[in-house]
Amino acid sequence: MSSEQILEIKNLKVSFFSNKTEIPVIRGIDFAIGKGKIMALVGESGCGKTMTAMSILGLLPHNTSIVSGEVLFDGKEISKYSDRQLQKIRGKEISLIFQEPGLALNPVYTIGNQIGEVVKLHNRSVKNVKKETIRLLNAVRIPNPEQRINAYPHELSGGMQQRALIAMAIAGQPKLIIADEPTTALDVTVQAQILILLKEIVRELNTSVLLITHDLGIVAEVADTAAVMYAGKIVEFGNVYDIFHSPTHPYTKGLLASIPRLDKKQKRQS
Amino acid sequence: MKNHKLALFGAIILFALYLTAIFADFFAPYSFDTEKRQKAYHPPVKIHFDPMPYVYDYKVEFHEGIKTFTPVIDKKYYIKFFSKGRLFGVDEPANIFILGSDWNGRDILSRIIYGGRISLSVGLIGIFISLFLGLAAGGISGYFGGITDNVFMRLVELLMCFPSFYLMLALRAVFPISMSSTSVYIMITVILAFIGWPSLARVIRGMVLSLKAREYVLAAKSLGGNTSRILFRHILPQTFSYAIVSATLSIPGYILSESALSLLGLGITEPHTSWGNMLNRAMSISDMQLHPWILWPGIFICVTVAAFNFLGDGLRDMLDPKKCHEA
Repeated sequence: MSSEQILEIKNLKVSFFSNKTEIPVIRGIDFAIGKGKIMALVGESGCGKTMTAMSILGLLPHNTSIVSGEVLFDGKEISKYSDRQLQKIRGKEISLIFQEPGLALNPVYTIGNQIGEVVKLHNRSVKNVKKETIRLLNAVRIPNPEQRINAYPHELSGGMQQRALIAMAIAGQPKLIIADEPTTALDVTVQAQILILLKEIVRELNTSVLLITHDLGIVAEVADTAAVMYAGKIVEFGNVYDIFHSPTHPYTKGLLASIPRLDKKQKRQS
Repeated sequence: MKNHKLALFGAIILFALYLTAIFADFFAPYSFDTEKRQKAYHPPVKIHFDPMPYVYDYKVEFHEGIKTFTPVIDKKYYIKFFSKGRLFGVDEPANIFILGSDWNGRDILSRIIYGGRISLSVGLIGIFISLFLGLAAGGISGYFGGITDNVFMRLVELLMCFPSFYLMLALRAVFPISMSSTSVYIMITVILAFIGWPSLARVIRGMVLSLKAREYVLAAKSLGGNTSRILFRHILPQTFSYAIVSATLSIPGYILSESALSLLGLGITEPHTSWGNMLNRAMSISDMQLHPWILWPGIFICVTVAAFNFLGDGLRDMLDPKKCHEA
């Protein structure tokens, strides 16, 4: 069973430390992502979704650390890895897509330059970096990649920036992509395009995705499995169908009930 | 550039000065060490036109102990262009001392042009070294923080609290006084750079502190970038617009410091020339009164410093996005 999982998290606990007091952020969570699957991590703001992602990559802020638990990536326990060892994993094995593409791209370099940088870093066998960059831009459906390669981030729309960021994320051909609210900064139509793109990439490259979101609509659309997180704990974990049709935890029920619906009359809360 | 006429003006002046200094062998009518001992303290020669430009030879006489120069109007000496590999010159025995000559009968203009090689390059090389040191120290200090930061910043404060002129003199005193002019020159640049980097390092550190919290730095980390890549490729380039302006504005300081050192006789020594060292003789009031033309190097220093300041101010306005809409 375990060989089928790309990522397994066992009893992970993460805490902030300020003034010698320990403030737990993630209070013992377990979940697993199957190879080639999309798992959604759903929850409200501040429940620890992003912290979970950052603890996988070892990018926790300096006053935050993993207290206990295991992060098994491809069967290897990576939570004890040194920064140097993690550097080899970041971008190459696991890559991250950010919420605000406009902030995550360096404003002083062209997107071609930035994608090329990742290619050079992780894919040394590639001789023609420019050609590979164009191929990646094509893969994320950016029109006219030959010209866009010279565009600076501010010259692109939010959706295009997110595509460029996805191109950077897949440049190292990672086994797992962590997408931290990849569509929150985009409008609904572009959201749909990016989600479809993400789904296609998963199919084409056979990677897995950990999709962090607070939007249950997105979960229903793309995810295979889902974990509902609340106050640092995973309150429900299972496949998307089960969660939507027979939620067991009251928080999940509340979350589902809070989606505005057109077909039912709901009481307006003041 | 269009809206910054003063900056453009400064840039043109600097370009002209550097061009003449680089091609000093062509632009200067004499070599820096050509001496006409009989024509010491020659006043600037007058150029006449008929319509071709010509000069007269000057006769030296003494009246009550004071040297006077009177033109000999019997013979015209036409200025010859592009002869002997120089832009202009005249035949012997006439001299073309456009800005006069110094106490050894050397052409002041030629010495200014040759001296520009040192006076103008000391600032550029010095700022390159201190820019490098400042960026590296500020970058490392801001990025790593903690103990590294503390060590670097205390070092910076230590260097800053030294009175820079005494530090300069002390550093100069460490080396033997009988060094060759070239090694003295190299040493002066290094000394100046050593004094110049702390303030830059401090500002760069502050900028790095704020830049390292940007999301694209985290993005670079998450994609596997190592420390040096993130620091040198993603953080420091963002500080360049500040660094370039600050560099341009601090070059005058280097030029002035070199002048000051040479003026005190601790910098470039005779027969080699720099603007400060040419002013050395002008320290005597009687010399200054009788031969005011030996102050010309000072005017060149003023013009260069002003030009650098104009250029720096203009660059700052151009690179500062917040000021764009006000103008």
